[in-house]
Parts: sequence; structure tokens; C-alpha cells
Amino acid sequence: MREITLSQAVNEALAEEMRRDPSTFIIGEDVAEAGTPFKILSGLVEEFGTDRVVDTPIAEPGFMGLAVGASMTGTRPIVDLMFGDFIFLVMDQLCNQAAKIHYMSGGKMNAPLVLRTNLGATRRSAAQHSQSLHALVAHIPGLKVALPSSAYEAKGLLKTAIRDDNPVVIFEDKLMYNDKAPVPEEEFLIPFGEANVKRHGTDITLIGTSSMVQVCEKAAKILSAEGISAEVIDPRTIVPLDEETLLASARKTSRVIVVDEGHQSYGVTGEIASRINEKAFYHLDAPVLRMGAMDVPVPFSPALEDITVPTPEGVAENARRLMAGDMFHAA
Amino acid sequence: MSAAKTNTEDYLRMYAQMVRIRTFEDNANQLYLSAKMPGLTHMYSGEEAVAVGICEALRVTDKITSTHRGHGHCVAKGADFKEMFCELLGKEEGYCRGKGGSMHIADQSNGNLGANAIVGGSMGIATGAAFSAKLLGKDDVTVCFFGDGATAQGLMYEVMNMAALWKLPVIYACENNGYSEYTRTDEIAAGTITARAEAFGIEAHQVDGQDVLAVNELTEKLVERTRKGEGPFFIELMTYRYHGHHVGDINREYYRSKEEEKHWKDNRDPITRFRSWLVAEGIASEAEIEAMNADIKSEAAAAVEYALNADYPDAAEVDMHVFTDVKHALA
Amino acid sequence: MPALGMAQDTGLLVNWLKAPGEAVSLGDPLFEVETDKSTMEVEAPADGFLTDLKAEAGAEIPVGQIIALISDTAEGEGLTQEPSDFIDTQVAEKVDAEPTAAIPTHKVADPPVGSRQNTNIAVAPVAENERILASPKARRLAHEAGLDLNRLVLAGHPQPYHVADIEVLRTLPKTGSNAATSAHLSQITACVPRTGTDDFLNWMLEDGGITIAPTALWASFASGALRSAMPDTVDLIIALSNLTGVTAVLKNPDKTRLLHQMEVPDSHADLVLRDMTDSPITGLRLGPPDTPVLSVASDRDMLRLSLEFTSDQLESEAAIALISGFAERLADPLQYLI
Repeated sequence: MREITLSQAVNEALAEEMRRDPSTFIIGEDVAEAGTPFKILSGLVEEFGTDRVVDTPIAEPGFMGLAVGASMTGTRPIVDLMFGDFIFLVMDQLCNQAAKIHYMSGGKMNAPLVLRTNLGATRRSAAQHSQSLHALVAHIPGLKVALPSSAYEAKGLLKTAIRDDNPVVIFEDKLMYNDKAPVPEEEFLIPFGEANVKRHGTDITLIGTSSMVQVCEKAAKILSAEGISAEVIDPRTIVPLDEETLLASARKTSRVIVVDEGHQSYGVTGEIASRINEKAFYHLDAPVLRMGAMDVPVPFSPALEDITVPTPEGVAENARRLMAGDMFHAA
Repeated sequence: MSAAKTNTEDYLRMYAQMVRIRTFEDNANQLYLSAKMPGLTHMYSGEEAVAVGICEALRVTDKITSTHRGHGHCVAKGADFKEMFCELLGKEEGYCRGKGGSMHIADQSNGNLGANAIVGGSMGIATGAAFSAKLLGKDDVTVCFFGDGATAQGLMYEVMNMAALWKLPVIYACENNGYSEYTRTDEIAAGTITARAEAFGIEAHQVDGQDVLAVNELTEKLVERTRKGEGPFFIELMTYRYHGHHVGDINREYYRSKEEEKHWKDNRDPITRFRSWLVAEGIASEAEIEAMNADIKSEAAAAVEYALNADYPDAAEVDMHVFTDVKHALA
Repeated sequence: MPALGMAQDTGLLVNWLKAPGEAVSLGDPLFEVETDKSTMEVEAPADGFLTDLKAEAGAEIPVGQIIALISDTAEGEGLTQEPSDFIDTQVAEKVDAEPTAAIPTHKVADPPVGSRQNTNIAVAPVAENERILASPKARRLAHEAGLDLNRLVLAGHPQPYHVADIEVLRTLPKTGSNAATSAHLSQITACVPRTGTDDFLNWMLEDGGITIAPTALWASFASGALRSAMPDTVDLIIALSNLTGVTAVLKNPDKTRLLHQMEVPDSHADLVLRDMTDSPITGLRLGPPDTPVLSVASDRDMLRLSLEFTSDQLESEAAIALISGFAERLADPLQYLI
């Protein structure tokens, strides 16, 4: 199978869906000629014109609000938010308006829009361009949240997101834009709420999201060399969450580490760990561990930034401790 | 009064719609005071000429976005008393199946995209509705209702900028009732409000919001031009709310005198003024008007009675309408 | 909900003093209860985490109802725990600065399932004062296989226990009937200041020149408390004993005057009252008795009370009522004698 970058995968998904559905349009800062700072959208304005690839002023609440209204009245906006950190700017329009309109109207209106943005640290972009804020929106009922972990997922999930009649927020890992992965040339969709078992194992389950899927896979390799068989699962969407696949694995291995690049406190790892505790408690032989980004603003200095994010070695070390019956009292 | 129009039916309908709003609000107020209505509500009484003058210039397919003080817009855009009272009382047959209530009442069948409990929250939605109309090649016009208080919100300037840049078919209708919640607007708004729109090159008008004919005449002209792609436009409608910020805002002399309220009610009431004009012009007799008023009163009384006896939604509806494609989100 | 008085069917939960999931240590004030006119703090009976709160502040709760668990994890245990995982409650009436001196502490062993009727009394395994540390899966597997984790403790196997340790447990030799019989033994302990008894006896002596044996007073009180706990009983036989054997058998000592208690021939007693105050022993547990035994031991200025019984002799609620009533009488003898 051919290999393309995550960036190309996103571009292909957008182009295919915009060809398929004339009511779709892209809106955001520097999306047209510039093709975004990451050059993800290059070529789209040439094909679809400035009516459907719309450059906006630097006005995130404005274009987000506009997208909500447009989505409620017959179009399918694909909003480009240049950095995931800017989600704080659009929270009212996203969470108070888009997320709730279907419910508040008793099911009579809806907001079929996609908010594409990104996450991920270690790009030396410092505290306001490095955050992974997907837990914030996953907390709000009415929003779906997708976290592609490779070019393949990026394409399949984005196409599904565009066709979804609900507001969907999709976070791409900005460090993976140039990473290649096998992506079929023929059309495919990845349904929401279906986790992907990336690697089968029997001793411990490593649940990773987005950028952390790779981290878990590397940790699994390290552990495999030591005779520990780790299962790696990528939930792919955290809303909806494929609880059954996660629980089945937890019941099988009895030990689980959840790894996510959002801050560890009050985050995705805690939510998933809690569901496993609630529903697989009597199958657990060890506490479910959370590994998230350190609870500090992302530091600029490489020496500091690199220690704020879970690493394969860190995951492997925690896995060893769980296997050894460590109580983690001091953790 | 402005120059006479020539269609008797239009005049009588405008009068009836204003009385319907006033009657609706009187009943809503009673429901609140007698503790039959959950929550709180914001009375539109006094501002009827604004909603009616504008909405009478619109088609059913034209869109409006409304505010927390939204009953008047809803009635003026063609809503039915029965579904409105049901919504206010949280009943199953309400416009939003009881899920929205007073502050989120919406009637998409008549193009009302909904009231909004966030001050200025619908400005993005209105602009987006105009954007999608343009993208889809429709000649629908969107009117964005908001209060003077909302002019303090940054979102307004972001979306007016985009609307002006892209010549979107939207009319921003600022209902200036002189009070930003519990504060005189001249204490919180620098300069003039129309100048803010003019700064974006948007043609702005100020009109007496207590004169339904003046409002209607101006709106007719601007709507026609907007349909031709000459928008956006901005109207500041000078009006007055008779009640407090909300129904429970009773002791308000610290920010507004009783004499001032009396002056507006005695000398500038939009319904009284229009009624005198109708009689003076020979369009309707006092007896005919009294009969019309009585009909509306009994229509409202019947709707209230119906709503009071209507069923609440089944508890199973609580997790419905969270997502369009999931019947019960928590099942 | 602890029973704080004889005439009390319910307690008003005034306030939780710990939050759900919060770590608690033995003796920490856990919640406040209001009965009649007074409000008291109830202390935590064990180390752990406060979980599974089943009652809110302001609730009127039947005595004996479980209102929370103290668990090994902040996540709690859920509702389907076996009885041995429930906390035991401890009634607090501050009588001593020592954290262990609250009255009465009860430790009730788990009677066989089905032999109790409608008892919600909190129970803990007699063999262990502390909860065994084991993973949920290890605990479940042990339970399913009918294996007792206590045996790993007794074998000195280090905690916490995981699935791998269950394999070790399978290989351990069975330890006879000890586990089986201990399951039938229940014990409740309590502690009261001895000044109540002493002051009363001294007053009788000094004011009336009357000498009364403490055992006579205690027999009367034990009988009264037992009668209140089991109101349907007509005659009560109380056997007095010391560490060497039975010294007297009394019939209805609560209904006769202290100086004229009715001795009867040695017959089956309803309760043995064992006086250990002359010995240095402050507590004992001798296995399932033939008759419920209420021991009174001396510990500095305190009297330590211990009620041993089996579930077919006394229901837990009656046992708690008995020892609570006895302790109340010891604290204020005059009120019950007049």
C-alpha cells in the first residue's frame, strides 16, 4: 500500500468530501493561498475557490460563531483552528452554542460542523502553542471528539467527521503532520466509537490516544524483549468511546495504563481509568494507572519540555512496576 | 407617524401582532408571579414595534436570531401561542419539547433560529446563517436581534467585519432600550453605537423603535437591498422595556425612576400610538380594535390553560437529542 | 449508624466530617450524630478511605444501617461486597483522651449467611483487625475458589496479594477447623470509666453503711440491659463467674433488690457475667462460648467490657443493645436504680 503523510491524508479527506458535498466549506485563518502554516490545505483553494476555502480575519470567536450559524442553516463548515490552544477563544460558540443547539431545540435543529485543530508538545512552541486540550471539549455533552493517531486514522476519521450531523472536534498531532503511514487509495471511512487494537498482548493493556499510541507501541516493544506481553489499544474517538473493547482487554490482562498527552489531572486518562475501575473492578490485579502530560504549563526549554510528556521508557517502567505488584503508594 | 401605507390588512396584522406580544408577556408574567412557570423570564413589553416592524418585512424563509428577551421576536416571526406557552412551562408539546424554555425558545419552522442566553451569543449564528444563504445561492435575509448591552461583546465586531468584507445578507438590529441589564447604557457604551458599524463601512440607521410604521418602512427597504447583495446593514432601534431586566427585577429605582417608566408608557407606547393612528386614519373603529384585543386575550388564555394541563416530557427524553444519531446518549 | 442509647431507633446524621474518597485514620472524627439533645462525633474505626457513602447530612437513619464503608482504595468497594468487607462502626462518647477508649467498640464476626434476619450490622473478620491488602481480582478468585486470604497472612506471606499469590494460597495446607469455627464467634468490646460504679458503691457505703459487691450491681445491670434488648423474655438467669468458674447463678437480678438477689441452682444461664477486675487481664477471646459471656475487666480507671456470643445465641442488634445498655447503666447507676 502507498504511504502518505498525515498532512496529505487530511488534505485528501477534505478534497474528497468537498467534491462529494457542495455544502461543505473550509473556514479559518490562512486556509486559502497560505494553506495553513503547516501547509496542510495546499491546493484546495485552487480547486474549490475562495467561496469554499474562506480566509478569515484573526477572529476565532467570530468565525467559529459564523460556522455554527452556517451549519444550522444548510451547510457543513469545516473550521480550521490554527492551534489547539486557541480553543479557549472559541469555547462559548463551540460549547454554549454548537454543542447544545440540538438538545435545546428539542431535536429540531443541529450544527453539523467540524472543528479541525491540533495538539501536541515537544515542538518547542512554549506554553500557548503546545497544549493538548481535547479533554476540555470531551467534557461537554453534544460534541464528538476524534484523536487520529496516524495518517490512516486522520483521513478515515475526518471523512466520517464531515459526514456526521453533530459538531465534531478533531485534534491532529502537529508533530505527526510529516509522518507517513500506509493509506489506501480507494475510499474508506473509519466509524466513530470503534477502538483499534494495535497490538495483541496478555499481561498488560496500554491504552494510548493520538500521539501516545506510538509511545505505547514503543513501550510494548521494550516490554516484549523482557517477556512482558503488552496489548496496545487506540480508542480513536474519545466521544463516543468504545468502552467494550477497552473493558474486554482490561478483563483479559488485569492491568491497564492509560496514556494521553492532555494534562494528567482531571483528564482523559482519569475518565478512562475510572470507567475501567467501575466496570472491570473485579478483574483488576493492579490499580489502573494514568499517564498524562505533567501538570505544568508546557515549558519552552527543550531540557524541560521533554520531561513533561509520557515517554516509551516511562510507560515501560510503570508497566514493570505494575507487573511486580508495586502498590504505587508513593507515585 | 410615518407616511401611510396602503394595505389595511398589513396594518391590522401589525397591530394584532403587537397586541399578541403584549398579551403573551402579560400572561407569562402572571405565570411567573403565580409560581406556575419554572425559572425566570425577560419581558419584551414596550418593545413590540421593533420585533413586529422588522418581522413583518421578512418572509417565512428569512432567518432571525433572538435574545434572552426573545418572546416578542418569536411571536412576531409567526410562532403559535400554544407551543410557546408549553415551552415556557417545560412541557412536551413546546417548540423545543420543553428542553429550551424561555431563554432558548426557537421555531425553525418560521426561521427563528432561537433565543440565546448568552449576551451577544447569536451574532455569530446570524452571520453564519447569512453566510450559508450566500454560499447556497439563496436570497434569504437574516436579521440578528441583540440589545445595546451586547454591543460590548467582541464577537460583534469580529462578525460585522466578516459580514462587511464578504457582503453577507444580514441586518444587525440593535434594540437599544437604554439599559444594559441593571445599568444605563450611556454609562457603559462609549461613542455612538451606529458609528461602530459605520467603522466597518456598514450603512447604519437609527429609528424610533416605538413607531411600528417607521421601523417597518425602513426594514422593508433594507431587506430588499440586502436580498440584492447590498448588505449588511445596521439598525439601532430606540425603544424601552417596561419591566425590569427580568421578571424578578422589581425594585429597580436605583437605576431607573418610576417617572421615566411612566413617561414612556403614557406618551410613547407603540400599541397606543398605533391604535390612535388606525382609528384616526379610519382603518379600524374602536369597537373593532376592542374586539380584536378580546380575541387575542381569549386565544392567550386558552393557550395558557392548554399548556398548564399539558404533559411534561417523559423522563426517558433526558438523554435524547444530545447527538443527532444516538437516540439515547447514555443508554 | 451506631446505637448511642437504648431508646434510640435512629440517629440524625448531622454532618460528614470527611469527604468521600478522603483518607481517614483510626480515631479521626468521621461524622456527627444527633440523638435526643446532644450531638456527638463518631470516630473512624479503621485506617483507609471513606467511600460508598449511603447517607447524606440531615438524614434520619435506622440504627445499625450501613452508612459508608472504609475501604483500602479511594474508589471504594461498590455495593456487592461480601460482609467481611464492611467496616465496623464505632460509637464515640469521649470518655478518655486515648483514641481507643471510645465506647462501645464492637467487632462482630460474620455469622453464616442466612442465619441472621435483617441485620445490617457492620462486621469484620475476627482473625484480622486490618483489612487484607489484595487486588480486586485476587480477592475475587480467592472468593470463587473458597480460599481464605487470612491463611496467607498467617503463613507470613507478604501483602499485597495479587493473582500470583492465589497460587501460593492453593498450595498452603489447610489449617483445620479454626477458620470455620471462628466464623461463628462474634465479639463486641466497649469501654466505660469506672467512676460510675465506684462512686455509687462508695456513696452506699458512706451514706447508708451498706456494702454491695460490684458483681451484684453488674448482674442487675446486665440483666436489665439484656431484658431491654430482648423484651419478650420473661425470666433471665445470669451466671456470675470469675476466671476460675461460676460463683453464683441469679434469677432476674434486675427485678430484685441488690442485697436480696435470688440465687438459683446451677441451671442453664442466659448470660454469663465474668468478673476479671481482680486480674491484670484486660481482654480475651476464647472462642465460641456455650452461653453469651459478658466480661468486665479493669484497665486503670476504665472498665473494659467484652461480649462474646454466637449468632444463634444473640442477634447482632440485640448484642449491641445489650452491651450499650450495660455500659450506660455503669456510667450512671443511680438513674437506673431509682
